[in-house]
Amino acid sequence: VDVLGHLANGFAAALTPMNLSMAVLGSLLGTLVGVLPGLGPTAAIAILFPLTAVLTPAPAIIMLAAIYYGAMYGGSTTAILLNIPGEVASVPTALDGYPMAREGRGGVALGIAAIGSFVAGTFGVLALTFFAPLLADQALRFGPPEYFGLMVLAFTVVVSLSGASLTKGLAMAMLGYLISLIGLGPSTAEPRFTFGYGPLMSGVDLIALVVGLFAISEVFLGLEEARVAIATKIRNVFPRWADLRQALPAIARGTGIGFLLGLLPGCAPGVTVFLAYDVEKKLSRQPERFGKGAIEGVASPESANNATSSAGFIPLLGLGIPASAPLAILLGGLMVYGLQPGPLLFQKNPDFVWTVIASLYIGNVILLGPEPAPDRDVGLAHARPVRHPGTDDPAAVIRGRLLGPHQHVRRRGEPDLRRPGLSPAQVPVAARAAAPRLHPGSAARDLPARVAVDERWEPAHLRPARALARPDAVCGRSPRHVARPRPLRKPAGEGDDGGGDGPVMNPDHQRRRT
Amino acid sequence: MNRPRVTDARIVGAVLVLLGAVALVEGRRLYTLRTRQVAGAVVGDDTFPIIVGAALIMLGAYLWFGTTLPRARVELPQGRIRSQMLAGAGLLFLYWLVVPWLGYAAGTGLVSIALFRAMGGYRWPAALLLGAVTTGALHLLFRVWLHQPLPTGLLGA
Repeated sequence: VDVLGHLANGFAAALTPMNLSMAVLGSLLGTLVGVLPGLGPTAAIAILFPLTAVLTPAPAIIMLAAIYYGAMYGGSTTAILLNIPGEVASVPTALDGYPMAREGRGGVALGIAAIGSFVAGTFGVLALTFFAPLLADQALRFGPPEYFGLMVLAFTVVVSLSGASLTKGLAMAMLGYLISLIGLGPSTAEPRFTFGYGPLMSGVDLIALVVGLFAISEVFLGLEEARVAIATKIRNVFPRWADLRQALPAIARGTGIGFLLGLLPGCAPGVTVFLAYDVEKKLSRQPERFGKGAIEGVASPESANNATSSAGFIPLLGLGIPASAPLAILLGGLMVYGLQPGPLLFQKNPDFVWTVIASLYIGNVILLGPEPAPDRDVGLAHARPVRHPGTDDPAAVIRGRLLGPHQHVRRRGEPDLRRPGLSPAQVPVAARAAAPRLHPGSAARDLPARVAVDERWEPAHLRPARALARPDAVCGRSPRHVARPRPLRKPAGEGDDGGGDGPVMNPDHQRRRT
Repeated sequence: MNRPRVTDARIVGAVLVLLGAVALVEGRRLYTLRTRQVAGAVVGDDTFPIIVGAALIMLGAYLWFGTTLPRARVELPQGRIRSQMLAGAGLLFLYWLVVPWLGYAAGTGLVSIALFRAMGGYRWPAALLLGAVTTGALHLLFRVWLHQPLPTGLLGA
């Protein structure tokens, strides 16, 4: 009852015009940034962090949290419609979402992704509501042994985020400590590591650090990439009852997996979505449908993604441990306002905590809103769009009916490629070939022409997840830690069908089969 | 004669050892101060610099002698992209230098025009227009709307 009372107060505060507008604005901005390939939630929060620095704590954290879950959700749109996962957590969604879009069911895939995200997100926030206060209450009884265990748990984040080199991860953690030591010492107020430079007396400003580490690096990475997008019109985002019946068990399983694993520090959505997808495929009676447009393949990872995102708030608010990089920035945001996340936060700042928790419920509802409306173009829009000829052109009408309406976003100075006979998949390839000067990144990554041509014929289920995010597939760029795809080749001994342009076999897939 | 190859791990290891040494020197200075100012205290402002410094030296030595980093092919940016990156970094540094002298509005205007020109590749008229609009919008947002104190510079602008 106490929890419900606090939550009611939280809703009263979260529904004030200022807080509500920040939740709406954050969700929209987060979704917008999440839709852009390569800009994940970490970069989104980092870029928009300075804007919130001038707000009071509650609206600022509400906005940052909304940017976080908005960006987590936004990545699925490009994964489904363009086969470009906005971030790693959307890669499994692309495996089945894009084939669905190619079958003309992109809207249904988006609808299922939104419903799964809503269900999982709401479940996660419900658990946060009832579980986080209990966790914080227990944490208040912690003594030195428990705090030692907690610190060990926190260090597992370093281990799990280190990737291939633990030494490098530990070195990064130590460098982080070193930077945090800059400023006045807490016990003697003696300047540490300032070397006589006055502005360092107050330490390194967190906003400047975050912008430098994440936002500016994104700008530099973006310079290296050529971005050419194909956008698709979607017609209906409401799934049929049969689709829902098929997807609901997958949503439930994805939510469970995402939530339970999301409670563990370091278990980011990028991990849980792959697990959820794998479990769904193993449990399916028809696993061969996966990779060809199985609706469960969209529902489960999308649910896991949002459940993990929501579950991450429990250790963040209850123990002060961020489960992932975006939550670490959010933790920094709390500290900028003098709020120390952890057990005492619920006691010292209950109004603030419950306002933020209530805003998470509201945010989940808001995220159902910005779903692209039927017949609206979706895609990157940083260049002048070149639309296919209108209905006056009968060839375009036929092509549109066969392939679905598309548009190619043209880079400045790029030649107009509106000529018949080019499929949507061929347009960006031809664009790069016609104007290599405008696509230096793709020129450096020269894939054999054959691969580019075969791209549209290669069955999606033969492609490894990392290849779906590769820059040359359609556009955008791959996540940094996604390995560069190896050139595809026909499998030895599989026999040539003589067609020449038949499906090519990925070496990874071939290795698994053997 | 073949010179020994300096690997990535050794470069990283050397940098870590260097930073660790700096931390230890700073820790030593703080330790001396603490023992003079606060008698009998076991820990103080010097404790973490010493721990971090020692850890960095150990990790650096381990990287130097004991391990190799995962091999990754590094493609350094070339040509126009490299120029754009260097220009971007240089202009940010320039911004830090000129804002106290020129003030927020003039400094932001100058640097944003240069950024649009150097990094965006816009022609001068477009860069001037976009720079002016960006500066105006940021001034409106931070100074007029949010009442943020911004550097006024020598001219008071």
